[in-house]
Amino acid sequence: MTAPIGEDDLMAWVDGRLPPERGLLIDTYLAENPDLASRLRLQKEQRLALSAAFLAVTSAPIPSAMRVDTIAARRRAGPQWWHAAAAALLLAVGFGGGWGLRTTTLPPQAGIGALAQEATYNYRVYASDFQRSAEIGPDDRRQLISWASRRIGSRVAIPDLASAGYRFAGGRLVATPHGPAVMFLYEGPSSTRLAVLSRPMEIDKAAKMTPTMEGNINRITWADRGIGYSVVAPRSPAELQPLADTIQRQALTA
Amino acid sequence: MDQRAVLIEPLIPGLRRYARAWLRDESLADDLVQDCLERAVTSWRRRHGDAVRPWLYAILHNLLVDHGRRLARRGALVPIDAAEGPALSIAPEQAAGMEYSDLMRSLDALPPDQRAAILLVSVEDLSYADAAAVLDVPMGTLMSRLSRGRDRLAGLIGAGERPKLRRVK
Repeated sequence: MTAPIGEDDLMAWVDGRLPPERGLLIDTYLAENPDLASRLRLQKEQRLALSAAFLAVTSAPIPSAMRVDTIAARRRAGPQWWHAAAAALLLAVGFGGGWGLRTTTLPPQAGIGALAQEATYNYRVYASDFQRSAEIGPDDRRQLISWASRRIGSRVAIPDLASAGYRFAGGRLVATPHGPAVMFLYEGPSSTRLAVLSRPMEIDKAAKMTPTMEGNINRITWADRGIGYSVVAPRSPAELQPLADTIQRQALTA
Repeated sequence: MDQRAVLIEPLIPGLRRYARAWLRDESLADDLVQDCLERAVTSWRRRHGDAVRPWLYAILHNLLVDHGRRLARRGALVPIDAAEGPALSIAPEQAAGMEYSDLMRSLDALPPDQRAAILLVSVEDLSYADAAAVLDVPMGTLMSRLSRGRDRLAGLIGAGERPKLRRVK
């Protein structure tokens, strides 16, 4: 007795994987069902087109970072950069938190207030050591974008502030109590350092621009479409405002 | 070369291809493959003798699904570019007379479950049993996803682009 024809037979026919003993049976069946036969022929054609479409990827040389030796060696090499970054942030949070307690005011725990605070901590840690502050330099924008996008879970774009005299100097991922954030660093007139911190927002998914200050550092912070931005520099709010406007415009029109 | 390298490295081109078919963005796809390989090297001993190929594809597949969920949950910094990127750099005519961008758009429009089934079988050429293992579903489920996905793909490609698709024999 022969097993009835099933979906699996038809798929195996499309894939050219039909066992020989089913071949005749299916061919006969398809000859009697021309509509089904033409549908399956089309599917076969599409299967071939699909594998042809991805052929070029297959023959591309693999990046050396993907070699098992490289991966194994890196794992042996010990602590990774983000351990250092996390440690730096913890230090900064500890210091910042302690400093805040001096005046018995805790920093905001959530929303754009928290974001401004995170931006300031990271600015203090990284912008003061400009040579090493950028994990990924300005020449590797693509790499930075793809890495940061993946870690943050959103497509990031690097704000272009060149027209305002701020040169992009690189970027890095930083740890925040609300998950990873991307920090872009810029160098402006008379070596002013400016940072833009950005991350997804749980609260304050949309918030209007709010200037705040801490010591000599001014921040303008806002959120659009679930993403928060904080621009930080030791510059007056009047000087930061046009930069913030530019970043917001670019993010909304990109 | 240690045994891991012998077993893993020949599969890397296929893994990259699978990730790119999902993401279209070349460097993002490679990042996820890198993640997958690092997990594989780290948890090599926990593989418990599973076949390497479906095991690696399963790790990568789960990373791709997680990535998709994260994107959906968080919204984008800027809207994700819906246009086909330069990621694959293949001339359209290579896609056997079928409009390449149309093929990719149609693939993107499939439900992820069906797309995964089609890619694993048609492009990665995994056996039905291996593909089912990667997706962690019974064989029958794989077959019906494959069948429904292929029907749907044909409909999507057909829509508006029929004359280009139907080659005269």
